[in-house]
Amino acid sequence: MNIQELLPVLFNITWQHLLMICVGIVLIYLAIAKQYEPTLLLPMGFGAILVNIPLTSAITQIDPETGKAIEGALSVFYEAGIANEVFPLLIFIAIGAMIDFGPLFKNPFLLLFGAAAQFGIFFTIIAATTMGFDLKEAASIGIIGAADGPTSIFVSSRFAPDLLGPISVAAYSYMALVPIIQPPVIRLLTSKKERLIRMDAQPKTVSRTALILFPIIVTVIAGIVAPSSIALIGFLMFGNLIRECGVLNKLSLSAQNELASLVTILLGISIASTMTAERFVRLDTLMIIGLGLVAFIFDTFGGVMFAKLVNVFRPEGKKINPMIGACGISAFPMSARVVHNMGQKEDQYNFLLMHAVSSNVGGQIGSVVAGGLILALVPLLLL
Amino acid sequence: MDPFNAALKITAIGMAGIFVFMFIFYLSIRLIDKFFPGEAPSGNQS
Repeated sequence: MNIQELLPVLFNITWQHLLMICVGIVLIYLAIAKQYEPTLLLPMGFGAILVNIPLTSAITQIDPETGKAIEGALSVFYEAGIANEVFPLLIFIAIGAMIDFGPLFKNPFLLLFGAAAQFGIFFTIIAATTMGFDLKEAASIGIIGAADGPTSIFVSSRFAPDLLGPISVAAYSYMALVPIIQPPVIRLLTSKKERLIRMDAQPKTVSRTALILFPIIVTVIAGIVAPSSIALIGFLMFGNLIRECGVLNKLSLSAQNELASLVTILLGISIASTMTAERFVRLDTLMIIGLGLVAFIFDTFGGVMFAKLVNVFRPEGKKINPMIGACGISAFPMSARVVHNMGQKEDQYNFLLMHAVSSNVGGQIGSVVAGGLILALVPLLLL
Repeated sequence: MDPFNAALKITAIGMAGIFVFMFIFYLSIRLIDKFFPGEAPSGNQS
């Protein structure tokens, strides 16, 4: 028996495998040292190492002697939870159970910023098509701009499963980098005078009936207008109904904690099954990472510019601080915190947090609606 | 339809669609809040 038979991995490893193992280590480093979305980036990083060791048993391999497929655990997880979209939907139940729609009832107009700040998704879809991606791939890349990991995974697993790895890495990395990406864009688009605008905060309580009715009504409306979005929006609202109904506290806590934790582990490590060197070490990956950044920048642009447009029609004293527009993305509560801190830097007595949170909650709904619309529109335009 | 033109069309319909959805949700909130208002916040009792 020679050394090649004893240590076959050493003779099968390529520079691409080594590069991917380094990518895995970098993701683990970012998760632990920088705390960038550690719940997802750590399983993905470790999974990237698992699947890039040649002859790994973690993913399905073809036995060279018999020609039969030997199933690997990560491939089984992928087929069981991502290919059929179950894991992202379970995460939506958990997220729904975590969302408090109460702030939206205090200033429902801010819901519209959750629409404007999805502009980055569509700008990126256009940009991706000019770079040679087909429509399904471009839509999957654009959805990084939803700033919503599960929506990105849901859309790309349906339209471009081969790009799932880089899209997930880009989506979660940029979500963690919101405090670095958004402030310079906001400063570039707003004047100091605009950043100093104060907004009145009206103390208001929301009835329990209203909070129970909201997820039901949203689901019914979404189902009527865009049935293909019903899985995304419905699971989110189901989670929220569990939270708000008041009689399922144990289930609500389980959804927020155990369900979220368990599915996140499975989701992260299952995505890693697509991060093989053959799929990941490509020029496309770099382009996707670049386009993801474009998506986040133009989300911020869309939100801020919409706020400035709204201010044209609002009287003095009722104007909206344009920074609030930037919170219309789904990265909750990070984006709201970033804008509140920016407001306090300009004027320590300017408290924007409540408005920023309302806009940010609008962004959580907006991102899911955007995902549902893309799922509905792309197949129609490909007919 | 080539991908670029299809992307332009998705952008136009998609952005309009999101605004329509959110506007309907906005009206829903206003209606729900009108029929099921929250209690007025109580003042400080001395």
